[in-house]
Amino acid sequence: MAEVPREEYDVVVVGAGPSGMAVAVEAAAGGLRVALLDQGARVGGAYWRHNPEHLDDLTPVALHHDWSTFRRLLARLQTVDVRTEHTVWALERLELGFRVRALRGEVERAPVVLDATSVVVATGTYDHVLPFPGWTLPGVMGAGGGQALLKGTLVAPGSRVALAGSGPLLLVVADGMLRSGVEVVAVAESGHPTTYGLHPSSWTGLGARTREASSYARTLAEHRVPYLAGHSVRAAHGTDRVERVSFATRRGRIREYDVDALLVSHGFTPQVELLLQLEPVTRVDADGSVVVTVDAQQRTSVPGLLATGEVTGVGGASLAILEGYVAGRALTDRGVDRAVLKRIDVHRRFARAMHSVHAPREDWVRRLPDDELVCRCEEVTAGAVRAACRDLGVDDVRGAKLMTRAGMGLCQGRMCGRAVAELVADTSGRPVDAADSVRAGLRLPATPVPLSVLAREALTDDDT
Amino acid sequence: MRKGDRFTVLLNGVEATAYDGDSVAAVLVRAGRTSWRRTRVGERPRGLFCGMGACQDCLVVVDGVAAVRACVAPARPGIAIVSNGGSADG
Repeated sequence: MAEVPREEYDVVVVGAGPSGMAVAVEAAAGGLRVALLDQGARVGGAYWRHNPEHLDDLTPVALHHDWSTFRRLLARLQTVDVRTEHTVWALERLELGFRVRALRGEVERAPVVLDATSVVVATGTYDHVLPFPGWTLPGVMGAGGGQALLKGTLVAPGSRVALAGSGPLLLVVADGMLRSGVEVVAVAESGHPTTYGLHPSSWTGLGARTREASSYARTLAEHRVPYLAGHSVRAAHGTDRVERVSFATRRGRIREYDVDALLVSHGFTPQVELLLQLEPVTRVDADGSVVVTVDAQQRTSVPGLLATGEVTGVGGASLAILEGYVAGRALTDRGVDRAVLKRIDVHRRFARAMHSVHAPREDWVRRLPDDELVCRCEEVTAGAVRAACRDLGVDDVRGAKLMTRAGMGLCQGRMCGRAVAELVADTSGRPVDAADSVRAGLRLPATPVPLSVLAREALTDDDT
Repeated sequence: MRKGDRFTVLLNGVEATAYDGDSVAAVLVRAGRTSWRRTRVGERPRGLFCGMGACQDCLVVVDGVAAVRACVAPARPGIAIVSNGGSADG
């Protein structure tokens, strides 16, 4: 069996979104040999997900934000070894540096092995979608995922869509859908954005953000789209796909809409799986997500392993780019301006206010009926998890996994991990504990890998 | 209307139009599909869910390779996409 050739770099950056691009560009400018890996077909990540024809457009495209920054970073990637369609499934420590294992091509799945002195993980996030009746119906999908489909392929996830959940993303996605001619019937925000008033300094220094927010409000008003503050998704109805959605206030006032798509986001789950393989110090962020602890240079507790962007705390693309810049310079022992650090503080302060305003409704667990699935892959119901807690003494995520198979399927608990942790805690009558969430995120490989590849790489490593 | 290059793929043996930049999921959604596989236990229909390569809901067969994430895999000229075991309306 032919050995997988090993290639060597000073730095491997995993994730070519805003943060990863900034790291790669800055590290290469410092003279390092850099590889930038992404599972997607093009760089830009979810934030700058684009169609190839957008690149012919020199003026900022209506669907994109901060497009000029993307163009600038893209132009500077020329000295970086950009490797798209590379899905990284393992990070290992070597005596000196790291080994990065990836598969090239979603269909081809060719094994790739890269060794590097330093690794920067900038894998971003995906939508956090809490379970509700009907959430597994086709046509119900993550709001960020629906937006990525539209921006990347110009195909809309539906023709008549509703948005629900919590957070500024709902407005961004609604705006993009409306500008693309998609009918948006309603935006249900379970928080109360007027409570940003409780955090008066959070918008300070964020003029662009303020203007952006008011432009979304204008688009919604122009299209007469109701913005339903304090409304949570109660159910999606339909047989083989979503046909109708209902939203409810805490007092039980219900509104219903006919739709062919429901885009949901209850915030984000940072993709920390790869990082956790190397066991860096982690923490639970204000939004309940497990993130990696980093110092002022974006260094984790594992020497040579850095993390930037949403995996260090969800705060948006502008913050992610700044963190990438800091990390890229730190890799070549270059410092940054105090102004940059101040900017980072401004964004982090806003993120804290955002997490507090847009916290998902806490009563979702109690509202989830026993017959609804909580684990999509293994088709485990909320009732099965509750029964395991009550009858079998289960009181953590691992126990629930062993007794019910929740979190044991193809997504390896990515979709249900946080929900199962909350469900178990609620049923066992204790608060969600951080360690439980961390355990829910521990898994190797970080993505399903063909057994043939595992066998082959185990063989080729004998001579290490 | 579209500037991107147009090409043909096979969707359950029938020719379908795709454009430069399409994912396999984009081809399926443009063809009017919201689901393209059934779950093992409950035979529930599934299509795009996370749309970001994490949830594994949108798995499909491409060129005979099983468990391809439709939201991640780029559509390429001539590829054969097979959903739900390949029935014409599957």
